[in-house]
Amino acid sequence: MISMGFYQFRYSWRVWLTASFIFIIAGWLIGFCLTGIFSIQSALSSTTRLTNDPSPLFIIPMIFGGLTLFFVLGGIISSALKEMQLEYQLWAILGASPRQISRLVGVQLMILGLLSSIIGYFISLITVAPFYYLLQKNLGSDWLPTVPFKFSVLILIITSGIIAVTCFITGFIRTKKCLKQLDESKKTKQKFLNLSNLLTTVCLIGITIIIISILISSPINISAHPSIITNAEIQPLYFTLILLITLQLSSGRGLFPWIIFIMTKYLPTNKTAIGGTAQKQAIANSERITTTIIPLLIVQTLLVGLYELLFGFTSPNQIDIQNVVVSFIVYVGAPLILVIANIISLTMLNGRQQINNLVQLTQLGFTKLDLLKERLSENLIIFAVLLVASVFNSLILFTILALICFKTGVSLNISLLNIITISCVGAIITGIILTIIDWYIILQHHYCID
Amino acid sequence: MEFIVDAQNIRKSVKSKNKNQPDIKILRDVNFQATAGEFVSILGPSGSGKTTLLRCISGLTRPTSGQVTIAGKSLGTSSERQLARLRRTTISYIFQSYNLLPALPAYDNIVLPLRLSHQKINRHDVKKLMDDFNFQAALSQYPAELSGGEQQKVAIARALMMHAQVIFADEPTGALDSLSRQLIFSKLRELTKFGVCVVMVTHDIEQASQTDRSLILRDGRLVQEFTHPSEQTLLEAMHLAEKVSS
Repeated sequence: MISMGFYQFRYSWRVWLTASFIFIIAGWLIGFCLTGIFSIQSALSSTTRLTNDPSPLFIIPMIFGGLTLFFVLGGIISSALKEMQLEYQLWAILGASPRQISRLVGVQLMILGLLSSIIGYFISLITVAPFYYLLQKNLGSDWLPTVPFKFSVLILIITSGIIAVTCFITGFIRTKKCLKQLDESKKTKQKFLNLSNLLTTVCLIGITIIIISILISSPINISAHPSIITNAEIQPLYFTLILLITLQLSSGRGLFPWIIFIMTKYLPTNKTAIGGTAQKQAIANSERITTTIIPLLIVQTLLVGLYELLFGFTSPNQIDIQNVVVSFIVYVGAPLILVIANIISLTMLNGRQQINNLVQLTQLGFTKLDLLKERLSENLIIFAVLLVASVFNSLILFTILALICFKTGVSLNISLLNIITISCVGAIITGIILTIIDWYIILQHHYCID
Repeated sequence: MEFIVDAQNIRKSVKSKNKNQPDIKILRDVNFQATAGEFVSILGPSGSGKTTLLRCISGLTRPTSGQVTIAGKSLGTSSERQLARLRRTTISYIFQSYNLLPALPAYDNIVLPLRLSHQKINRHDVKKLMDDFNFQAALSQYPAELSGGEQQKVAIARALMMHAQVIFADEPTGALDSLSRQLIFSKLRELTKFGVCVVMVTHDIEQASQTDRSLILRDGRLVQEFTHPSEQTLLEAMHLAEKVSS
C-alpha cells in the first residue's frame, strides 16, 4: 500500500497542498517547542549561571498544541476525503478493504506531515530566538535567562517523526470512521446509547451537579485573606472548563447542524435569491461548518476560562501582568495558533470544493457581486451559530465564577459584559477571516468561472 | 441448475425529502438469476431502475430488502471486508467511464486486485495479455492519456487477470466510437466462453440481441425476458415499455 500511497499522493498533491498549511504550523510549533526545551536543558546542564528553568514555557504549549492538533486534524481529513470521494469509492469497488483504504490515506497524510513538518521546523528555527528574546525583554532575564538556540538534526527528526506518526494514525482512524459513515447499510437510526450521547449526558449532569453543589454548600470563610482565593475554591471552574470542552466535542457534530437548520428556517430573508441560497447552502454544508466551529469554540472556552481565572477574583491593582502574558502564551497560544491555521486550511480545502458550486451559481445567473453577498450571508450564519454557542459557554462559566465569589465572599472583578464581549469578538474575527478567504476565492477564480 | 448470481425479491426504495410523501420505490420484487458463462443484458426506458438493479445485484448498493448471492456468498450478511475480498477475486465492474484509478498507470490498474490480495504478479503475463488485446499505448501511461477504448481494454484486462467469475458492466461501450464499441463488446462476449458470467446494462439493442438473454425492466419491475432475442423483438419490447411508462 505504500507504493500505492505514493502514487495517490502524487496524483492528489494539489488537494494535499491546500491542506498543508496546518501541518506546516504544527511542524513549526513542535520544532519551536522542542528547540526551546532542548536548548534550555542543554544550557542548564552546561552552566551553573542559569537559576530558573523556563522549560514549561515550551512544554505546556506542546502538550496543549498536540491535543488541539489531534482534534483539528479530523476536520481536515474529512474535508480532504470529501474532495477525493470518487477516487476512494473506486478503490473500494476495485476490492480495497476499508483497512487498506485507511492505510492509503494514512500513508498520504504521513508523507504530507513529513514534508510540511520539515518546512515548519526550519521556520521555527528562525522564529524561536526573536520570540524568546522579546519575552525576555518584557519579563526579565531572571525569568528567562539567555539561552542559545541552534539547529539540531535530532530535533528535526523528532519533529518530523511526531508529525508524521500523528498524521498516519489520525488519518487511518479518521478514514475508517468516515468509510463506516459512508456505508449505506450502517445508515440506520443511531442507537441513543452511543458514546457521543453518553458523554453529552455525563457532561450536562456534571455541570448541573457542580452548580448545585456550589449552591447548597456552606459559605466559605476566608476572612484571613479576603482577597485571596485558593485552588480548592477554584476547582469547580477547572472542572466546568473540562466538562464544557468535552461537551462541545461530543455534542457539536449532532447539535450544530440542528442549530443551523433552526436559525435558517426562521430568518426573514429566506425568500430572496441570495439569502435563500445562502440559508439552503448553509444547511447542506452544516457538517463542514461544524468542523470549523468546534475547534473555535474550544479555544474561546479556554480564553474565557483563563480570563476568569486571571481577572475574575483579583482586583485590578493586584493583577500580575507578567503572569497574565505568560499564562496566555503557555495555555492558549498554541491551541489558538493551531485553530487559526485549521480554519485557514479548512477554508482553502473547502474553497476547492466551492469552485463547482460557484460555477453552478454563475451559470444560474449570479453576478460576482451576488456571489460575494451570498458567501457573506453564509458566513453571517456561521457567525451567528458561533456567537450563540460561545455566549452559552460564557454564561455557564460566568455563573460558576459568580457562585464561587458569592460563596467565598470574594468580590467579582469582571462583569458578564466582559465575558460576552470576548465571545462576540471571537465570533466577529472568525466571520471576517472566513469571508476574506471566500471572497479571495471568488475574486481570484471569477475569470475562470466566466 | 446452479446460479452464479441469484437475487430474490429485490426491493429498493429511498426516503422522500418531503416527510409527507411516501418512499420512492425504485425496484419492486425483482428476481434475477444468471449462470456461469452466460451473457445477460438488461434494458429498459430511462428511470426504469436498470443501474440500481445492477448495483443491487453486484453488491455496490444494499437493497432495501431481498437476498443476493454471488458464487454462493450472500452479500447481505457479508461484512465490508468480505465484500472487498469478493471484489478482488470474484466480481469485476466495468462502467461507462471512470473505471480506472486516475492516480495509477495502466499496468498498476490492471494488477491492482492482485496487489490488494497480496498475490504474485507476472509482468510478462500482463504484457502478453495486452498484446493480445492489441493495446497500442504503453502500460506506463496514465488513464488520462488513454483513449476510451484503451481504458476499457485495461478494465477488461483487469477482470481477466483477477480471474473474475462475474463481470457487471453498466453501458461499457456507451462512450466509445463504433469500432471500439464492437471491439469491447466482442471481448466481453469472448469471456463468456471461459465461463465468465457477464451482466450488462445497455441501451444498445443491437448488442443486446447478441447476448444469451435479455431482460426488460419497466418501473422497477422485470416485465419481459427473452432468450437469444432478435433485434426486432427487443425493439418492439422497448417501444411497449416506453409507451406504458409514459
